Amino acid sequence: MSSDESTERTLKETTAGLIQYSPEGLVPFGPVHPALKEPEYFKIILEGEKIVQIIPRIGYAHRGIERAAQDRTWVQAIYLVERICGICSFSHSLAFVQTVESLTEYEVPRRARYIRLIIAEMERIHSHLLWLGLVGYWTGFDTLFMWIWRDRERVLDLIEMITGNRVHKSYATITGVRRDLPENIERHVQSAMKYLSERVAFYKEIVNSEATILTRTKGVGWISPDVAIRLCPVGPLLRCMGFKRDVRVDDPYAAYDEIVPEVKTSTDSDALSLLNLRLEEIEDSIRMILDAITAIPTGPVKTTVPRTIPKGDAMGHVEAPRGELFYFVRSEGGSKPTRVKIRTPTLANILTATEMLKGHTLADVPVVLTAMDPCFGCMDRLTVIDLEEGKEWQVNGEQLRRYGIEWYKNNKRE
Amino acid sequence: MSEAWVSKFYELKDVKISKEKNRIMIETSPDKIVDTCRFIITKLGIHHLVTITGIDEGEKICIIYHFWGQQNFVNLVVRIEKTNPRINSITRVVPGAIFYEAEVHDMLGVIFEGNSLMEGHLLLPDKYPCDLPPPLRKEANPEEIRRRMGLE
Amino acid sequence: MRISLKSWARKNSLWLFHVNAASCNGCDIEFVASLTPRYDIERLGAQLVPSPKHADVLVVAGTVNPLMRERLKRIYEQMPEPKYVIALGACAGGGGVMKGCYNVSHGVDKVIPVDLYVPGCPPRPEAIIYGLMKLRNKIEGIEK
Repeated sequence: MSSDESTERTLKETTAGLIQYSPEGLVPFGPVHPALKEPEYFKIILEGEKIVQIIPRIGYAHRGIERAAQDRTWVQAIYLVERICGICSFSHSLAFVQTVESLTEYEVPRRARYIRLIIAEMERIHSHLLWLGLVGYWTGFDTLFMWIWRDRERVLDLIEMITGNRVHKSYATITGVRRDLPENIERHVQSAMKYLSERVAFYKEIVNSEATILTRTKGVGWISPDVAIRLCPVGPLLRCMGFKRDVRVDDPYAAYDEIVPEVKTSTDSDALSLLNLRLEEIEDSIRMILDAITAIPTGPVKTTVPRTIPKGDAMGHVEAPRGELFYFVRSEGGSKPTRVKIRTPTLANILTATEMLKGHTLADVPVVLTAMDPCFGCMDRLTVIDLEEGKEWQVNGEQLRRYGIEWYKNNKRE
Repeated sequence: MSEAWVSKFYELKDVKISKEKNRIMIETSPDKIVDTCRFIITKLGIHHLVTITGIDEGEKICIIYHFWGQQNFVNLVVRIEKTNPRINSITRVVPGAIFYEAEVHDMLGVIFEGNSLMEGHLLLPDKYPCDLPPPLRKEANPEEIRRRMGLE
Repeated sequence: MRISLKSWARKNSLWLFHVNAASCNGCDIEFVASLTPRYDIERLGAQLVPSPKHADVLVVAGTVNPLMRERLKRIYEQMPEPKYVIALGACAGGGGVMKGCYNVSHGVDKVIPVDLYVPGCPPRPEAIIYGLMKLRNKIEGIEK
């Protein structure tokens, strides 16, 4: 069947390096390399200057949370799952709580749904600003990194005023949120959002006119949309290829059916379009927060639920800042979950990101890997194998960053 | 969800279909898995595989393939015997399934024939003792795993 | 109180090497936030270095899973004396919320000796600055 053949080709090209993957470090083409003594995070295989394949190893942050959730009660499990990721912690707790609520007969009060939207959008702003600062850091533009992280503190102040913490908010609970908005929060929100929208307009100008950023991101990391769609990416990575898919619009949750997001897409699927796409998402989030804070209804913010959850299987997904975050929960009528399955957006995007890097040079690795917005630890340590010279060496993230900056000072990408 | 799209489901043979809210569950037997996936991709036009879940149910291992499209979750449910946990891989049809199958292999010991990541571990550390059951099986004990790996 | 020139110089220019040992990244982003203009530990002389061979202080955040234990030991051995270790956050202090999971160590002190614990989940940048001040006093106290 011809469609199977084309899939066969996509699969072979994508997984050519993965076919002989093992911690012993065998490489499919060229001379076989000696066994590596320890598992590394990413193995980058070069031929001369060009990258031929990247082999990811993703067990660095495996802690056994799915197993641990089976030993915790339903409410204790919320505190456990929000500590899967510090950057999108509210998305994890919101997805878990929404999945569990669909097993019960309780409705979430309308005011609670608005508050969930406000905190989720604030988290999106904080995550995209964090990412943007990191792009500045990796390309050598330290000033941009410092400016953006200073502006990000305004959003963290708002989150702290509402929920009590900056990072792990512990704010969502089954059928609602744990406490109400403080009084007079409106004027703080409005002044912070006004400040942020001016700064975002300024950053948009910089990103599209600064030579440092343009040379390193324009045309870098291109991938054909037809190949990418078979690798099932999610989030901004999917939207920058022209696919208009966003969980907030396809399957509305919280108050997204009343305050509708505008889904932005782009057609050039390179790193520069990802930068612009995320900046536009920040602007849209600012608009939604201002709409929500003026239109928020009065009423209770939570209802009381019994300690046991009825028997059943449930699935739920939310649009975390990095993409679609999926939860599957099975309950057997007890006070503890029987099975919790979590699929983070980074796992869905790794395959696409390694495809994007084929044919590029080592100096482009930081920018493209950051463009898919992975967690920090991914970049900590990499092994580079050079097929032509027959040698291998190890770099860490900081050394790769400095190599990239030096390379772009002395060379030009063709 | 249009009438024409719903009627396509009736072309599947030997399956049990149920629908609840926005979830469609299709139960089928393990040897039909690749054909049913191909049907979902080509006839139903759903390209996005969300993930693959494995659950230990005592005597059988339940594997659920979650697809999302046309505002619905389309879930494929198969059950395999724990004594012989083998099933065909769907990576020829959905290349993006490679990591999800490798995760189920790591956590539950299921072998997906045709997936290239079946040797070695994706998530577990290399010094995970090979005589202990994989961590998400019912007979696995976290205390014992900790002790054997040398974690106090 | 008299203080030797060596220990004055050491405490005023602490070079930090940061390791993320299987954490949720919450402690890491609060640590990196403490370098940014609002909190700014660089005015205390602290700066981030790319290699453990140049570092005085090792900052470890996270539950140390088996994949990271050997690496952490090796990084600690590469650092020149005198060296100090800061355990950042509840997970590095004693397991935190991940206690009982099958793939975590209950604290960094099971792997390498620790000089300072900064509690919190995650600790605020103000707490990290307070911790650094305590470390400076400790350095001064040891080498009087």
